[in-house]
Amino acid sequence: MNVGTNVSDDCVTEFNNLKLGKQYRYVIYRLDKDKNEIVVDHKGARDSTYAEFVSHLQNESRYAVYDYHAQTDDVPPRQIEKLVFIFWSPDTNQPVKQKMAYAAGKEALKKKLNGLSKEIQANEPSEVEEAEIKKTVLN
Amino acid sequence: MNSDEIISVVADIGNLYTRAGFTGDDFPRWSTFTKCTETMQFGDESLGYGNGQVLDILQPFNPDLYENLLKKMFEKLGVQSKDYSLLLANNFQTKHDLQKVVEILFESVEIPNFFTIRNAALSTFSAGRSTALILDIGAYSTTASAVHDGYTLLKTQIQAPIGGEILNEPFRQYVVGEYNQFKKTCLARDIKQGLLTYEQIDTTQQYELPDGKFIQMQQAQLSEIADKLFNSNDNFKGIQHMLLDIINNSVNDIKQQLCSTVISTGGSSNIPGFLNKLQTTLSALAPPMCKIKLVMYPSNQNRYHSVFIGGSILASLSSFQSLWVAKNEYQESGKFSIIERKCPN
Repeated sequence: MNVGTNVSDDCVTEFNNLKLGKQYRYVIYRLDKDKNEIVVDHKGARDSTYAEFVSHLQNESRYAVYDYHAQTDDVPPRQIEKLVFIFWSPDTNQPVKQKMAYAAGKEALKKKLNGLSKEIQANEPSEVEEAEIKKTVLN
Repeated sequence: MNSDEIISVVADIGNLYTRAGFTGDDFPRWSTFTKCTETMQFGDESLGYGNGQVLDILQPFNPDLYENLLKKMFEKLGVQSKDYSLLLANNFQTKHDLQKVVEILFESVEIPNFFTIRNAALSTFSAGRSTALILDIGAYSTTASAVHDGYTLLKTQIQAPIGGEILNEPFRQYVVGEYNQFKKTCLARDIKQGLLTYEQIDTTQQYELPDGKFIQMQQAQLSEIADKLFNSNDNFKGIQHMLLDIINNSVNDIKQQLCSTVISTGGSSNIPGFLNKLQTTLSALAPPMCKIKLVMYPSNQNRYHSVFIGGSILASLSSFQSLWVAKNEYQESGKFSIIERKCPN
C-alpha cells in the first residue's frame, strides 16, 4: 500500500548509476523524518565486500539495493547477476512508529526503481547474511 | 509528536469491544462494549444492571444503533465530530454495511475526512511490518489473513465462527448470584481469564470469587477447554489449519515471508502457553522450506489493541495525510466509488 512517501530524485539517479553505469556495488537509502522523504544514505564502491555493506545496517531501518553476483553449482558454473532489494527492519530498539514509517514507505521507493529482481526483508542479522542473499539470487 | 501534526480519531468497532482514541496514542482512550441498552445507554455499568435487553450493535449490523455509538464515541472523546478526521478499521462483512456507515459518518455524524483499512493490515503495521500472516482471534469469530505490503489478500482470507467467547461457557457454572445474562457472561469471562492456560500446572489453579470462595480446576479440564481453538469439529478446522490453508494457497513468492512473519492477535492470544502451542503445532505441519516464526508485539497489552495502535500510527504519518477521503470528494464523486478507489481494502 503506497502511503505517498516522497522519494528524492537522487535515489533514482544513484540507482541508475549502479544499474546501468555499474559505478557502485550497493546503494543504501534512509527515510529523512523531517522532510518525510527517502534519500540516499550511502553508496558502496564497485569493489566493496558484502561485509562492508552489512556493517551499515545497524539499529535503524534502511532500504538497500545490492548488485549481487553468484555462481551456480552447475558444471560448468553459470554466472548470475541480480539486483536485490533489501528492506532492513530491525526489531530491537526502534520505536514502532519509525519501523512502520519505513514499512509504509517501501512501496513508494520500489515503484521508482525499475529492474529489481528479488526482495529480502530482514529483521535480524542472520536474515541478511551473505548466505541468505546468495540463496535468494540462485532460486 | 510535534505541534505540526494534526490529530485524528481512530476507531476499532469490533463485534464485542469498541476501542477509540486519537492518533499518536498507544492506548484507546475509550473502550466499551459494542452493545447498548434499549434506552441507548452504553458501557458495562448500564448493561450489567436491570433486566432490560442488551442489544447487539454488530452481528447483526444495526445502522441506527451504530450511528448512536459513533456519536457517543465523539462525546466520550470530548471532541466535535465536525473537526476530526476518522480512521475506521474495516471489519465489515459486506460492502453494503461499509457503505451505510460511510453515509452515516459524512451525512449525519458530519466528519470532515474518512479512511478505512482492514483490521489485519492495521495489526500488521502495529507490529512494524507490512507483510504478515495474521491470526485474529476475536470474540465471536477468528479470522486468518495474509497481508502483503499493506494489502489484505481477501481471496485467501478465512473466517471461522469460533472465538474467545466460546471459551467462557464452561466457566458459567461457577457464577452464582442474581445477575442478568450480560453480567453473568462478564463474570464467566473474568474467571476464564484468571484460570485458563495451556501450560502444565503443578498444583490445581485457583480463582477467588467475589464472595471469597475459591474455584479449583484441574489441568485436564482446562486443557480440554483451551484446546477448542485447535481441535476440529463440524464447522471448524482448528486455527492451525486456517493458517496452513492460507500458506498453501499463497503464491510461492510470499509463502516464505508469511511463514516467517506469523502474528497472533486478539485477547485469547494472551492465554498462557498459547503462543508456544501455536508455534509447535504450526511448525510440525508447515511445508518443508517454510520455517514458522511468530512475531511478538512489544507487550501483551498490544494484542487487545493491535488494530487501534496500527491505526493510530498509520494516521499519524505525514505521508498518510494525502490519503484521507474528504467530504466534498465523497459528495462530488458519486459517493461510494471514491472509497473503493482511495481505500485499498
